[in-house]
Amino acid sequence: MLEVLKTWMTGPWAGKTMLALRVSFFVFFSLSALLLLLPGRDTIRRGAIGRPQRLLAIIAAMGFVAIAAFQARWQVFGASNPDLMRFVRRHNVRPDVDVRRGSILDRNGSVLAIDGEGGVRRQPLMAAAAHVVGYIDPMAGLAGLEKAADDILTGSGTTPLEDLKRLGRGILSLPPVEGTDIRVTIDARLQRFAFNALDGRRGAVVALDADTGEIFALVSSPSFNPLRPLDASSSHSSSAPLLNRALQGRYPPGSTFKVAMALMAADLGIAPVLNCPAEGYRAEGESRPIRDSEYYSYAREGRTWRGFGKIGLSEALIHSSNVYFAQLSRRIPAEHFNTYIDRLGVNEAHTLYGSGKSAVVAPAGSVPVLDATNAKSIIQLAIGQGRMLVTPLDVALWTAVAANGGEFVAPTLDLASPGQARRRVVSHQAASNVSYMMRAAVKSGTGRAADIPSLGVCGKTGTAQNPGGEDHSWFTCFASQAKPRLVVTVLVENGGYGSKGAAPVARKILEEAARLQIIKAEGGAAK
Amino acid sequence: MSERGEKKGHDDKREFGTLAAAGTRALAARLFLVWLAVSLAVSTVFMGRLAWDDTVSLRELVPLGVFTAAVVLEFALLAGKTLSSSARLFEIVTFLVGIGMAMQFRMGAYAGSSLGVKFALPAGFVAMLLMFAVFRRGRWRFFEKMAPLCYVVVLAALGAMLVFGRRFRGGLYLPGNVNPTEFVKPLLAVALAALLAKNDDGLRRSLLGLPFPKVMPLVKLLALWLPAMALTLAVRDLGLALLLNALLAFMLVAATRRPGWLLWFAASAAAIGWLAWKAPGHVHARIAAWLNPFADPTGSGWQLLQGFSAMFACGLWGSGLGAGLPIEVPIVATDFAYAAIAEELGMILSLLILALYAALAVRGFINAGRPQGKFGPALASGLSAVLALQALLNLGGVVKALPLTGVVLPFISQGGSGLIAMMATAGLLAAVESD
Repeated sequence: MLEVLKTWMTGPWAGKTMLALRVSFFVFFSLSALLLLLPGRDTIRRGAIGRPQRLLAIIAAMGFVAIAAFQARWQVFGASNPDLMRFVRRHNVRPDVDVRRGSILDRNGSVLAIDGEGGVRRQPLMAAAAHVVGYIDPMAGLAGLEKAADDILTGSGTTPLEDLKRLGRGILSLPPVEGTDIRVTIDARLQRFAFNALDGRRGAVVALDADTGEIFALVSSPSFNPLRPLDASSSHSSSAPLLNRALQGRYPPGSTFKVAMALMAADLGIAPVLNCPAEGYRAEGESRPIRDSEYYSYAREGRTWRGFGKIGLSEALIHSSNVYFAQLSRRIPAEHFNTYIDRLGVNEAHTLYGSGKSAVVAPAGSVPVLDATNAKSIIQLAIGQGRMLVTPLDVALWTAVAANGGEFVAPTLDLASPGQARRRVVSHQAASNVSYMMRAAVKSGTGRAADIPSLGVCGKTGTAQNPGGEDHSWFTCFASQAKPRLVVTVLVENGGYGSKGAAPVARKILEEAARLQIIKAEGGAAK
Repeated sequence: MSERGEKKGHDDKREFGTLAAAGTRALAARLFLVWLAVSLAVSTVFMGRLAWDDTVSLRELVPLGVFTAAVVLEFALLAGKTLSSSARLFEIVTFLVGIGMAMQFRMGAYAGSSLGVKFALPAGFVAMLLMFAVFRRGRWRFFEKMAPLCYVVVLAALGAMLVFGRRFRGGLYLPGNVNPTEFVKPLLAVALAALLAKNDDGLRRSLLGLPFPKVMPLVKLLALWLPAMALTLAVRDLGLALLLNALLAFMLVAATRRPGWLLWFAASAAAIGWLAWKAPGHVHARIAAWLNPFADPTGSGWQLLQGFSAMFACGLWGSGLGAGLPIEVPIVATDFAYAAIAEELGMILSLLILALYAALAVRGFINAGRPQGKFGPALASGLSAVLALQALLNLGGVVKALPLTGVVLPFISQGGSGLIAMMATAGLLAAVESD
């Protein structure tokens, strides 16, 4: 008997037999249950039911309705619960359930993160984009864009209408739960190149479009394996590979802040010719004078430097004269300084993607607000030192103001965002003047290491003293002269002079951007 | 019934005979359909397993044989009688027990050697039918006299748990995994019904819509209630404490016709909830897992979340009997039996299961007014409340409407004493309401 059945169930009719059994089970189960639910001939008259009995019957019935509603939350509408989707995706044991997480694509549609075989997350750029793309890890949780876009990626950031459509499809079959793909402003090629250009040194690169605020590359180095983030958190604590230096690293900006100072001065119409002697500028009551770096480099070689002499704003920016900017700062009223810092957005956090708790947010930098008690600290601030810490993104943002004609454009990673908030910081003329000065600084000043004549690179070096060791090396620049104008800001921790550490990296990145035709060389003939 | 076709006669006896015959035919048809649905469920699982499982043996079909015999016996006992509401109650319980048996068969419960599980099904049917046959036609009034004895048994059972109980998965059991608290619920309902039948007037007094009972009836009620509650809390069975307090509130409402007594339940639920939150160990963890199972998905939230993903994965139509993976849900055969049903039968069929439980409860409550006197309605309300509350507490835990209480699903969860106790309760309820 059993053998006969067994032969049958391993034979060709097994599938049809099972189907017939299942269908008839469904039919007879429903039929008998519905028959038992019908009121019978024994039904009691409504009037004969006591009030308390009716109340208890209603309470019990409502209890079971509530059970059904709670069950439907999981069984029918589970896909709109991001927590449940995360759990199912991670701990799925049922082969017919496919919870595919949406992909993260770059601006050209290249993959930054995608679900591979067996639901394993793959990130083609690996360490090169680990900070911005982030990770989804059973133990370490979520980070970066994987965190900020999690609701969309798990497919739960849908509208009620889409939920209903999904339910409609679910009546006939069990559709896979499809996450939604997102497109971000990152250019995977530039991102990978910029990461490689840092060559493992501690530092960061920000590349963004000066006119739209779209971020093309957001690099932090050293990096980590985004598929195994816990490995990074346990070791290498001194180099902090999990820290996103481009957004969260806080550094003194050094001379890159002179771009901001020049914007203020040009906008206020203050561009005096000032004497800048070798012995520097000593504010009253200060023990140590502010000197130019040439004073020290000549002294190291046993020579005597004669100073810049009488120079204007343009030459001061070209040669990055500390003495000039220290004196200039005394002529900029504190309240104006505060206003410009506000407009430049240095002291505000920037939301680059998403909203609420799970957004990608760049924390605010910190430039002190000047008042009567600390008015003199502007002398230190003017050369990017003192009690001032900014992120590489902040530096890129004020560079963008000089590049785009004087407007602050909120930075973004969201390719779908409909135009970024913008506000005027300085006049078009002032921004244009400063960009000429930055062009000259690259052509004949401190930034020569980054010059690409065909692109007309405009830039500014920075060498930021820090108490923890050798100077941080900055270079911030933009190219080309025609749109799109790409801002590239490079920071190399303890990289020494900006012209030595950061400028060559920026130059390579701009060359690659031109090669990839992100920026065009046609405007290169200018100046 | 030989009177069939003779419609000319007008005497009462012949009228009664015709009615009974029509009722008998309908009873036969419904019981047959129930039996067919259950057999198809078992066949689907059995045939599905034949294809890949070499350990299948025909002996595993013995429970289906037992079920078949029980249905025939039930029909023989009920046929030809006008039973007002009881016949349907038997049909619903038979359906639920049958589906429960099929699910236990699917999860391999009968392949093991646990004697209690194997004998629970026949013993449950015998208990149900015996309770009905012995105590119908008003003989259930015997329980009013026996109420003090029932109460003593309740205290003895709880006391035995306190002294001899052993913890297993957070719950207390006597040696041999017997859980006498299953019998505590209906027996306490009997004791309460007797007390309420005598003291309902004193407890009916109210002030501003709130219960304001007279002193002596309240003292009597508390004298009965507090020792039982103290023992329940001493064995740290907060789920049972919650169920018993809800039972008391329901019975008070039914006996005094004052909905304000539901406040008793609200207050006791709040107190028990507070106790559970303050209690160390697994009770606190259960509350925390209920509040946010996603906080510790691989730890305390695992069981709930496995249940949810089983439900989610199988959607409206379910995976089909035998085709799901209910075994991935911890303790699926007892506490989480409903998760397996939701997974394999799907949302639509599990809604029918819910509807049948609701029908059982609603029928139990609205027919509680049938028996004469005060004790009968109070007892019927209490027994209905035991069945309804037990189902609600278990189902609410599985779908995260309530914290997990360790209460099993009546008629469906695997278990010896639980199944027998619930079927006996149903049999007694049918006996009380059949008049």
